[in-house]
Amino acid sequence: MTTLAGGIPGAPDLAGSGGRRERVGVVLAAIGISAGLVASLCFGAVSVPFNDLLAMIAGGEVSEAHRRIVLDARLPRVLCAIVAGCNLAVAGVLLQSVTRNPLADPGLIGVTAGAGVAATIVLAVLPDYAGLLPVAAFVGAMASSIFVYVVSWRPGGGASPVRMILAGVAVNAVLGAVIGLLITAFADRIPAVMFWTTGSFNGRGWSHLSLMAPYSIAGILIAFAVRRPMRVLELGDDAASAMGVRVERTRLVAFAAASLLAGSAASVAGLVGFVGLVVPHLVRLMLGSNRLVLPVSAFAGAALLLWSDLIARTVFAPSELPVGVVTGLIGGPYFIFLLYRSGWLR
Amino acid sequence: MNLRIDDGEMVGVVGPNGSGKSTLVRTIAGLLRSSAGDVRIDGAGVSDLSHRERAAKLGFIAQSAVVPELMTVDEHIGLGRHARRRWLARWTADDREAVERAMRVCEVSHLRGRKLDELSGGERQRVRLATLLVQDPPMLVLDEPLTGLDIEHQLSILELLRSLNKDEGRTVLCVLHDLNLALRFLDRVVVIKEGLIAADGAPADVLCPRIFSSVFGVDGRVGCEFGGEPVVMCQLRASTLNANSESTENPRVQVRILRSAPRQGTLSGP
Repeated sequence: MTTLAGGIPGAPDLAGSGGRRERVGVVLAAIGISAGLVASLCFGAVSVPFNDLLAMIAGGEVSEAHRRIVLDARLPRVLCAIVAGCNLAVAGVLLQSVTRNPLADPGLIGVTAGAGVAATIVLAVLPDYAGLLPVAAFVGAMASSIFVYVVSWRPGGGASPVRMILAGVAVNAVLGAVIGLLITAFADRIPAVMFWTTGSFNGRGWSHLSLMAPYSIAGILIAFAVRRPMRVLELGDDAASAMGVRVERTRLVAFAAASLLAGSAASVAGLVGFVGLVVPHLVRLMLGSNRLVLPVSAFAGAALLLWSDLIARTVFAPSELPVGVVTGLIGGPYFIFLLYRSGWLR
Repeated sequence: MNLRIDDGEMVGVVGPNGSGKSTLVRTIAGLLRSSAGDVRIDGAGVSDLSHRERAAKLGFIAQSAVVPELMTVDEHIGLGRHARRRWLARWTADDREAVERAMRVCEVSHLRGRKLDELSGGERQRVRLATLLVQDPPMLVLDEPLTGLDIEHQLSILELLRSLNKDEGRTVLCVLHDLNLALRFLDRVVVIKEGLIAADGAPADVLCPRIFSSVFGVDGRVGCEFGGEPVVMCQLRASTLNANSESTENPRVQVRILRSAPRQGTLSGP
């Protein structure tokens, strides 16, 4: 059993080997996201020289074609990947903490299945309204997560982690069946549905980013605001309550933040698996503590999705792989390597 | 049930399994709502206090406290400041000083930087007490704080609680199973049976043959057979012993654990 959350702002203990590992982790995540940002803006079907990128930032002379490629196509797409990766990782940290389950991720609370059903309805049943896809996916994600929370809530007892997980499993099963039914009924539209359900940033622009941004900002701010009480919750419900934490309210706020973050990510990126589940564990293995898991996971999730999207659109260019395929292929083996190195698999 | 605990008392709650000891202390700590009646601290109802106000008046250690993964001793103790810090407040010199002092008092300074899951049960309990001190409530409520500890750690935890009671004036309310320790360390013992107070008073007065028989179902008394110190002596009732011996028709199995002899030489291949 694992209980996890962010850290205490300015809290003690950055000395010693744990502190060194934390500093290394923060630096690595920052390097990963910075290098990924530059690489994603420079590389693609058309390469943009690094000097042109610098000139663009400095306001110098750059060809119009390169300017358009960077500002209209790559930059919004890259920012979408950063925000979605950050959202999914932070949602994973929050949900693993709220449910006290190391296997928790946005899929567990129905967000993924809710977004999936709504997207499948739009893509398979109402293809003429494809422009509504992000909004529909977000609404579906929120509706199903709210349903999971309401079902798992009991008067006086609140929403217990176990009930939350069981309700999530049941809702996932039902919504998964609905998706299967729709795919069977509209078999000719399977490719579009499949591409969306494995996640992609193909064609994502400033409008997608602006759709995702308010919910992402709200979710991240809430996540950081509940970081301290969530850490106290690691000591158990009774201990946390006796230490001044409103357990039920903290859990509800964290759940709502995770739903906002995962729902907004799914609305733009589709169903990108792996990030929410594994990034918090990767970060924990890297840092050796839970203190900075929330902020470092935010950076690491962004970096992972950024590099995955770069690989997805360059390896078989001009064709694209779904980004979810890349996150699984890169992150899975690396995660197993880390688990082995840390002794968990020996 | 009507129970009044005054400032500076060191009170123990004892009773057989399932008698309601944990329910009582969890209700006093505000973690359970009583179906009738109320719990008051300094005249204010526990359920009327905000979580932070309650935490400032009363600290609690649960019977089965969670051992958080990857958390260091200093982090754990620092969390005790939660109720004392404003929302999003920075970690101040006062917070740091409170942690340092609690670590000194509870003698856990040498564990700084160690992970909770690497510590022994006794060390963890000291860390939890240090966390309570950082929270700084005048009343400490502990639900079976000695469970799973060896006798040395049991004694050291009770010595620490006694010093917090006598030296710092904190009120202590704890659930105990060991009546000898209750007799030795507590000012007052509340005996619970089936959710009601069966006896309440000084340990040597309360632990009388009638209470041993009616509450614990054993024959017992307090004697002075251990260097003049009062000790609890008890045994199963004669009727129970007889019933047990009569019903034992199967042959008794005796298990002996013998230290194996050291091996002479080693096996070797061809």
